[in-house]
Amino acid sequence: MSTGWRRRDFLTVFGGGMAGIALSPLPWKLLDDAAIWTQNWSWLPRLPRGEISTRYGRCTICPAGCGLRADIVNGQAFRLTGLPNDPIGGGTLCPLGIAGHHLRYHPARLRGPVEGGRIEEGGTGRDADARSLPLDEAIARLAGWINELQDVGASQTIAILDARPGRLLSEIYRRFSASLGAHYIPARTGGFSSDVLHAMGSAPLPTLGIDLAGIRTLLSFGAPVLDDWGAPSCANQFDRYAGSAGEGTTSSAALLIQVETRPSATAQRAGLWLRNAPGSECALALGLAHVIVHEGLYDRTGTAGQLLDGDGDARPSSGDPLNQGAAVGSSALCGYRELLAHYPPEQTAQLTGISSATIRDVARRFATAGPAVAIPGQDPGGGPLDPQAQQAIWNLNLLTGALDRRRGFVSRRALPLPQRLADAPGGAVTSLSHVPDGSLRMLIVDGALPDHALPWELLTRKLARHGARLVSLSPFRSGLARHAALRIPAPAPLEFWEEVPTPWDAPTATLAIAAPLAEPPRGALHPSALLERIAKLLGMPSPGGDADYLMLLRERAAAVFLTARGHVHRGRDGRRVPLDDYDSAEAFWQELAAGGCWIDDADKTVARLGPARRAFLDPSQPTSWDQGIASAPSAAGYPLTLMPFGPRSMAGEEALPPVMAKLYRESHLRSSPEDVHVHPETARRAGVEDGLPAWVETPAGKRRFQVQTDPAVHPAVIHIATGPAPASFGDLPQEEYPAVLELLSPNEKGVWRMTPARLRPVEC
Amino acid sequence: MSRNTTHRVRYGMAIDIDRCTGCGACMVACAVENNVSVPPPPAGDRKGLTWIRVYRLHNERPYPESRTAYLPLLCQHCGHHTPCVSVCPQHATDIDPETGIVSQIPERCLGCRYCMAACPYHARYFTWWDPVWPAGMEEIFNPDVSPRMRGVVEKCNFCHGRRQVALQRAAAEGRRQIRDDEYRPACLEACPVGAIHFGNLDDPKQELYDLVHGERAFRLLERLGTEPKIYYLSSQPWVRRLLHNGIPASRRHPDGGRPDVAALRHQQVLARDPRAEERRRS
Repeated sequence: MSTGWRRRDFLTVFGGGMAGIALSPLPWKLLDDAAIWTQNWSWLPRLPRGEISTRYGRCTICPAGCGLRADIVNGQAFRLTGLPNDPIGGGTLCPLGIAGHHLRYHPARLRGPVEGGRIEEGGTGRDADARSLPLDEAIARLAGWINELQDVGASQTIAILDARPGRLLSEIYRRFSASLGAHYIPARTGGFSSDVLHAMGSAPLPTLGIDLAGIRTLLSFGAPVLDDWGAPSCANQFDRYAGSAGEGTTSSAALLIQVETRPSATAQRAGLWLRNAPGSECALALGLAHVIVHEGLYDRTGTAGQLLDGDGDARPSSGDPLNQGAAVGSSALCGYRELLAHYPPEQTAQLTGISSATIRDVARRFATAGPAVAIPGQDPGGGPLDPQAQQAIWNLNLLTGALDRRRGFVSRRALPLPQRLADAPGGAVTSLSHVPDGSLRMLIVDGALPDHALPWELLTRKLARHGARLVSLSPFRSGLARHAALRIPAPAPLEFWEEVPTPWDAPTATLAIAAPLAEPPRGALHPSALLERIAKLLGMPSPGGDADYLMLLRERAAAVFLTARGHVHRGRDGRRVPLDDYDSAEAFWQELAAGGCWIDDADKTVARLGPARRAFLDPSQPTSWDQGIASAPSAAGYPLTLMPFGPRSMAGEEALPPVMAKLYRESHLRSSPEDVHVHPETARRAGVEDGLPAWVETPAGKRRFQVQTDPAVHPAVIHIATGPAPASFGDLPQEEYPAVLELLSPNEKGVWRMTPARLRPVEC
Repeated sequence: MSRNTTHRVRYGMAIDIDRCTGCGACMVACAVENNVSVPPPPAGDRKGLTWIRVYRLHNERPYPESRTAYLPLLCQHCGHHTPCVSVCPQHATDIDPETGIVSQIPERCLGCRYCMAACPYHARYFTWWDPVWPAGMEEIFNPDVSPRMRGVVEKCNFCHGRRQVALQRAAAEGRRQIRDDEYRPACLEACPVGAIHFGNLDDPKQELYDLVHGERAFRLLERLGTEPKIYYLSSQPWVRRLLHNGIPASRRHPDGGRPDVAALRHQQVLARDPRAEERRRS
């Protein structure tokens, strides 16, 4: 018997060994090690190391200015959270604020001045098409352009567009414009607008805020009360107004009646949603007023009573007030009564698509379940209501006494100015719609992130046809900056000392200071410093009174301190401290710089209309009703109405924190600006299908969108989101973005919320 | 409810769908807290990366009955027959016996994605791309959470890094336990309407205990018996009908999205007419 190894033995031992090894932990260990090894490459980002500290401050991305707590490592904020019990943010931050510290790393961030590359020159507005230039050269270039226009006596063709009016920087813009003889144009705020209200009065009215917590019935004409994260000064109204409509949910303490054509989140969560026909807000407001006046439900003790019943004892004893205008003897009131006489509930029902019974019920509820207010809201993407509709809505408030009492609309005091600015008043304020078309040869656009959309068409019609220059101070090369011939970037949010002035809807004056959480890049320059240097180059007086911006902020805080009113909501512990408890203006400043928020005492004086009241019910003030009530525009061959919409602070093409943008994009949590929302029946009639592309055509052009059918959409309407634009996410090619704003045709009043449109399958 | 583990704490969550406004703050806060990378734009709802995703629910009814709700969907931290744990060949995912948290160890993960296939909630996400962020953003990473490499699966771990920090702080103060208010996930902290509640499901003293034992509470796919530790709260019958049968899909890419669009359509039919299923079967 041979003892030598045969081939079979060798194979048996080898195979057995291999099988044994395979069944042993060894291969799994190797696999495990290989997995760990392949996941620790040198290019994996390294975590920052160091001691973690905490700072308190304010967010300045939007006008709200919520309080924030920043966790810092190596001098950089890596986590932002809301301040507990913050009077503005309510203890949390919105998604923009949570990722606000990411904004400075946005791919579209400008780190120094650039020129060229604008869309009008065939560029894309991106860095690759632009030329960098030193800061000094950029300032000299801008000063030279201004000087050119001054030399030919064309200073009035220069304008500054302030993206966020109300700041100290706005005062500096106004003074610079006044010295130059240029226009100062404040951008529209994103919430309810009281511009028309102020135009209605024949004498100056106090600044109005709204106390949403103090009212029982809120009649909102499209205001995004429960969309996204609420209005600036009242971020969280959920507990008060939401949940009353859901099946089986408990009713809330206050009733929200939402008048809106679009099935928005607010509409679907409101206690009562009135889906009106497009453009019928004015008719509905007049119809409600008809019922209130006809049934004598108006506030007889206030201004409405004095106007409708006559001054003093001239009150009618009985009968229909609609037919007693002559007794009062006011032609304005006669006109108003005549106007209302055309809007009985049955007629209004035909115009609005809302039943006459509902109109009567809502009018009675609004007039009797007070305190009640009506808000002429505006969608951040869809823009404001027509001035006629706004006037009709403000008159509803007048009828029910909402402008005569302390709940609902309240007057608030203005923030005091630093002494050096108070001594030299700023120049006049010009509305964009009042700037003659084709008159501007230079437009300087402020760099604050706007909280609403602004169609480029609205600006281009104001610019001269040839040779007009747009200068952007935005820290990002997105939005309007893509059209700019010269871009001089300002520091991004959270990179510079900034002020959080009173939000437009706050019931009392507030002031907070946002201390910087990071250093701005070397090429960035704050607009106040930019204007200061230009003023020096041009030999003009200093717009900031020879003080830098930080000094002006300190002086404003000192001016507030001198009022000795109100209290400070401390950032670090949320405690309320009376202003009197601070020893000095410096101590007050330090508290503000650490995230504190000063809140004024309530203005106890009621927002009396005074001598202005006569003009209120006058249908010819400020707009003429002779031209007919505003309604959806029509054009032959365009059977539908295009109504754009957008979320606050994301309604345009502005930069967003990358991580937030990518999450929204992936989850489709927000309607994409590439989608068109239509009723299924509308889609069927147009021959387009859900999920497939279709052309949306308006008189201004056509774009391709993806059809999304939704049975809640009004059959005569198509909705398209104005933002957030895909390019907001980073380096996406801007030219692929089917911007709906380019399909709109703003009218002469600057209203773009309705445009005639039609749908076509892509085959056409 | 099964009690087959000996957890000292059984962390869980209750999410009030009736309060959720769909703002997405929870998604953003989660991504910032956990250093979730930013994949390139082609990443859609199928290949995107997030640990919590908010889905929009719609009852598909015309005006005036149209209603919308939002469903934040994250790892359900199943407590029984946890599907992902049982299929993982690498023990890269496991239940922490101390807390009941279903953890994920990316360094051990092979990227086979069995766990993703097994997860009935589609709450796990695969990193299809190298983790990238805009230039310079590494300096603002959360120092308590390591970024993950391409080719691994990620998911919610109830902000485990925050728990570790809270434990360290407690240890520094000579305590062995952390207080309830010391450990809160980022999504809860960010929710502006207080829709998210977190705590120990076994502690009757906590508000969470009452919420999850209330009439409004339900869990997704309860019939599978996986004992999720995420409870949802809603009084709206159409929401409960819709979610009782599964989880929703994105409406935008129904053919490519997840989960099954046919299931979603089926749910929507049921939402409109709860007896449709019975008629179909008969």
